[in-house]
Amino acid sequence: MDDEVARSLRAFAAARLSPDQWASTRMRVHVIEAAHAALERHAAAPIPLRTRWLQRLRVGGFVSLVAVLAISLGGTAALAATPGGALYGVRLWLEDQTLPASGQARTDAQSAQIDERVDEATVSADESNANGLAAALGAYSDELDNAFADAGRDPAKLAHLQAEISKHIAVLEGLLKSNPTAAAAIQAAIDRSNQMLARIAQRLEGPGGGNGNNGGGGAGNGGGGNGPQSSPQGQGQPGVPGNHSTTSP
Amino acid sequence: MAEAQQGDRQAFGSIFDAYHVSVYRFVASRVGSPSDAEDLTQLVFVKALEALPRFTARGVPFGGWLFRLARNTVVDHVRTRHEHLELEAAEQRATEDAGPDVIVAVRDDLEAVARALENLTEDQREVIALRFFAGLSAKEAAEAMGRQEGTIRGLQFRAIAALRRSLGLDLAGVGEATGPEPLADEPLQAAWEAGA
Repeated sequence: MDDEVARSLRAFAAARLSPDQWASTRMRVHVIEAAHAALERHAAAPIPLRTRWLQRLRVGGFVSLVAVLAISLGGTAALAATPGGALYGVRLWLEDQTLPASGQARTDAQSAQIDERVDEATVSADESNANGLAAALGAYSDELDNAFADAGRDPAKLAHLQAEISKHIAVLEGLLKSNPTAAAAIQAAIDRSNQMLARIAQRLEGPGGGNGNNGGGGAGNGGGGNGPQSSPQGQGQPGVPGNHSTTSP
Repeated sequence: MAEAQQGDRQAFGSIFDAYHVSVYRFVASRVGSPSDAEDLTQLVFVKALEALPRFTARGVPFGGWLFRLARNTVVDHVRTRHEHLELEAAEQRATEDAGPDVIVAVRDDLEAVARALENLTEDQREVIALRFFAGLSAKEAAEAMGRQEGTIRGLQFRAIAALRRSLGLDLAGVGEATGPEPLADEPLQAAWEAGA
């Protein structure tokens, strides 16, 4: 080994060619956003969607009923499953039912689900769809509760949820600025997110927080009408699929 | 790796964390501008993300595969922008902790290395960037450059000899230049870094 030259080259690389911390952070954010977008594109692709429907058909009789509904309603079914639509609650319930049972896969799926609610809120706001916005944000709040309950006392999961929520708050604040007419609903979602951050921080700090099976709605911060109505597993009762969007019409 | 291939964002984030400094160093050594290096490094990982499901290990080291993407990205960039592959002085670090004499000496040393690198051939410079700046093995560098491992070793041997000549170092020991040690902080390196 030619130590002298090697040392000079390594020193050169460290001094002149290395990214600083901010550059690393910027690049990471950009790349992870791209990963997220790719995942969404993948999820929205026609073939996986069909596969998802097949998975859902295994869930049980209620799913069969929805399939029949979707077929009978034809194209309107898809429209109805958008935020604020008649089948939106059904769709959310189905999504909950088909979440992976446990582990990292469940955590990731929940993160993706919450991201999707924020995206739906953004799209609804862009389309001036107040009902859709309210429904998406209501579902967002409920799914936060579910994710919080599932995270239990796992510090990694809690930290992950914390990071996700911080990102969502930034998006919602942007949404708030550009949509003053829907300020109340958006501000409520931001408040709810901040409350959740406080609960996570409390749980991370020590044993004083709630236990891992407390499906949200802890003392003093339940968030009123948007409070969780579902079990820790985050599912409503079959036949009451609209439990996610308490603010939807 | 398997999790990242299946779209696991956290797994891909881990890959980014493990490789981004190496990729950035390689790219920065080829394009000079830190902002271009940042953009291109992002692009490399976005391309890697898209291509990852098609990556199969079959004897191809992941590092080599990733740096082949990086190399192609740099080549495309240079071709598009008609830039020269020159090593330019990049951003310089804070020099608060070192005295003026040390700062000047270290800066001179770094400039000498930069000038010495400019005297290398294109291939030699690329091998040095892959082996010493990015920390790749000879096999990975060979994969990245689409060459035989023996060719890489030969290029590196000649590059080291040329660098020694340019830096005014004794030529003894050139034949032992088998490859870089893993990227690691050293006292000298820390001093250079502080003074750069």
